[in-house]
Amino acid sequence: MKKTLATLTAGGLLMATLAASHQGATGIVRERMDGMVAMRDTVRDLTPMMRGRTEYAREAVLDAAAALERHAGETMTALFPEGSDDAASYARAEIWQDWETFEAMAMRMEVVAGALAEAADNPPGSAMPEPVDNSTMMGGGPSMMGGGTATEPDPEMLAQMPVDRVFTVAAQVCSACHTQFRAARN
Amino acid sequence: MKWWKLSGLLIGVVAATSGAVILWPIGTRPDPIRLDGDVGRGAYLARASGCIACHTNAEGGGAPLAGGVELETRFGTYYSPNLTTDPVHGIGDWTIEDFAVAIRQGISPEGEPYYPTFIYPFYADFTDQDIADLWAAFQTVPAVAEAAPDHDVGFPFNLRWTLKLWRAAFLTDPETEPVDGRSDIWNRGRELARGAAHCGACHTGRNIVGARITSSFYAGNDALPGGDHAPSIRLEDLIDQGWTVDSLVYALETGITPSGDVLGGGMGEVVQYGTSFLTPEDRLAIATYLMDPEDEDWVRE
Repeated sequence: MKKTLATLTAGGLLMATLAASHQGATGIVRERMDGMVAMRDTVRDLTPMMRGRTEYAREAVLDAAAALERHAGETMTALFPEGSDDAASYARAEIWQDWETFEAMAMRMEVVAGALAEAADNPPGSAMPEPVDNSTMMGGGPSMMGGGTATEPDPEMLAQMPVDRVFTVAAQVCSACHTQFRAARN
Repeated sequence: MKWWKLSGLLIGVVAATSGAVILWPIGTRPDPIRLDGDVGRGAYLARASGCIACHTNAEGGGAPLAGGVELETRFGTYYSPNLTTDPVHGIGDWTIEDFAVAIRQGISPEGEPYYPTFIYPFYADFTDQDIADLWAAFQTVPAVAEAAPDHDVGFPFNLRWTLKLWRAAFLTDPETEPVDGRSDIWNRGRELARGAAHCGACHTGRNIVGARITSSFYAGNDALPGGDHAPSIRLEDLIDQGWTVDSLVYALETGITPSGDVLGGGMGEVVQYGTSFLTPEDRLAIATYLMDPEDEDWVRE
């Protein structure tokens, strides 16, 4: 009971902190924050299933994928008009200095979310399709000494991958964009 | 004493002291390293150590390990050097011993101390085998004949010899060796966290000259280069933020946090270019160490 209470309190504090950090946001900044929060909650709710901790439910994946897809792509880019970086915003000015990259990431998110739905038929732990090489550690090609992640799998490839791996790819898209374009704090 | 005599004396003292510091020899040459290196192991260590993350200008479309990543600090702007096999602009004309001294001691083949923006203090305990493995891996990197920009650092930090004083005052052992009575996985986590994975580079507070403060071990840093911010990763704060060993493991693999948010900033980079490439065992080791810290470090306030 004590532990539950502590967990609830910690959870409550966390929510309060997150809510507070979005306080003061209005208009389009608020709108895109709400979109991001919706994606965040979707990821949070789907994580236990993707980790094989809860029973697999294809429908839940389809719903989550649809939610992610809905908030990505042009829906997302439309919420970042130039100059919309007021004090409450976490958007870095680099978004508008390198709009092409930002836009490509938003579009990539939409594609990967679509593939997540396709991959819903391959529960966590399914076999990987051939040939997926994830060992690009040090640079171009299959050596490890280079590049960030391996070459980006296309939608067809993603659709054949185990759903949890596609979920991880989606997280990589989130992370790459947050790394480049989200401020740590104002 | 006349003012000019006094100032003359002062100038003399300063000149003599700085002259002595300039000539002060630093570092020790290792015995020749003749071990066979393993490319796979070396590349893995390079991933774990952040070589690729810091020396690849991914945002600027740069080639792997060709350097040029900008680091804006209060001392000036630093650019990570080219570590490709190009003999002029990279490290193609180095020997393995040059490489060992650079990595473990932070000293260039010309005998100049590196700025602590290069986090060599974390690599001090790398074994000769680690060095041989890394060296073998770096030999596989295609040459890029392009110089990384020079550091743009103001006086007095532009005087490399002042770093000898910094080294004398602040260079400490990373303490990565196993602790008796602790599990293998915990000790592996300690080795990674305090060594290669260099958590403290960002998560430990730094003093006015950029040296890590022991009492701020893992307590977070609000003044990272480029205005970034690293939260505390002390046990009590991790627990406060809802972290467990299990969720840390997953975050190091995917960037996904317990709230469903996905890490960005410097940590996003760490995951994307580093920890996502580690084995599940190594991610578990780091998480195990962080969630079961060493007592003495947490009471040193």
